Amino acid sequence: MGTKDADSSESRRPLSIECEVAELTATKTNTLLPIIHPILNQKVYRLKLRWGARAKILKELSPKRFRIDSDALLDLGSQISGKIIECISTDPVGDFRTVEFSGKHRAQYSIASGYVYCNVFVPFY
Amino acid sequence: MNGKDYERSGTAQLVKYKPRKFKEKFDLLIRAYGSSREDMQMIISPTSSVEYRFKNFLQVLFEIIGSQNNQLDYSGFYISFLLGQISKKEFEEISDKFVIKEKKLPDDILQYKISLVKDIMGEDLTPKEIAQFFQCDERDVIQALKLLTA
Repeated sequence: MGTKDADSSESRRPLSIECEVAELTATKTNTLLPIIHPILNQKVYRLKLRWGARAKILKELSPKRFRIDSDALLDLGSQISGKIIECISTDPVGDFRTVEFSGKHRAQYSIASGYVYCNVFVPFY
Repeated sequence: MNGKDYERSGTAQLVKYKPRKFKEKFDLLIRAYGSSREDMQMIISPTSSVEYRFKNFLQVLFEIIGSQNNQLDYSGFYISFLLGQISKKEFEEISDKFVIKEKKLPDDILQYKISLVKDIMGEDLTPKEIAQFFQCDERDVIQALKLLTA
């Protein structure tokens, strides 16, 4: 059930991840108002990551089953990246740190926990 | 004011008109335009028709302003949370007040609102953000966007 590896999909670029803990990296982060998620049926906090956005799984779901997207990556270490990534989490995302990102720019780095779902809204190309 | 007065002054003035033949009260907007008095044209339309057009436009603007105001307020609390001025528990309680309650909007109204918000704010908006403006379901926005681009 939705257990795909990031490296195994050659034809299709991974577009979403679902996990318990994820690291989020982006040069620009926007917060959106929380909503009651129609599928999860609970309050979720929302973030929009821009400018070299990246999300990586640090802890898998247990049990390892998707809740929103059947094509989502669920394995530890899987990651997605894009121009814009939308992220929802059941816990508020805090403790942003500044990390080295590229030769020219630095980026915001944070850990999202609870239930985390990230999807690429605008891919790089 | 007679015709001679108008020709002499050359400017529009408020004319008091007492309806005698109309039983119901009426409300009209009269628009006169042109480059000179010779090619002046006049449009007379009921005020209600103009009001209806602007009312919808203003309603969308008010919704966006209200949503942005909420967003700013929420961002302020979020910054306080990030700086450690309020605890996670406090922030969670505060954020309950900002939770969006989604409502169902008719497709045609949603399409009109989306086209308007795109004109005002540009194309770089996600369905989540548009849904936040009008407090509606994101999936309805995606559907409306598909119909708009089709």
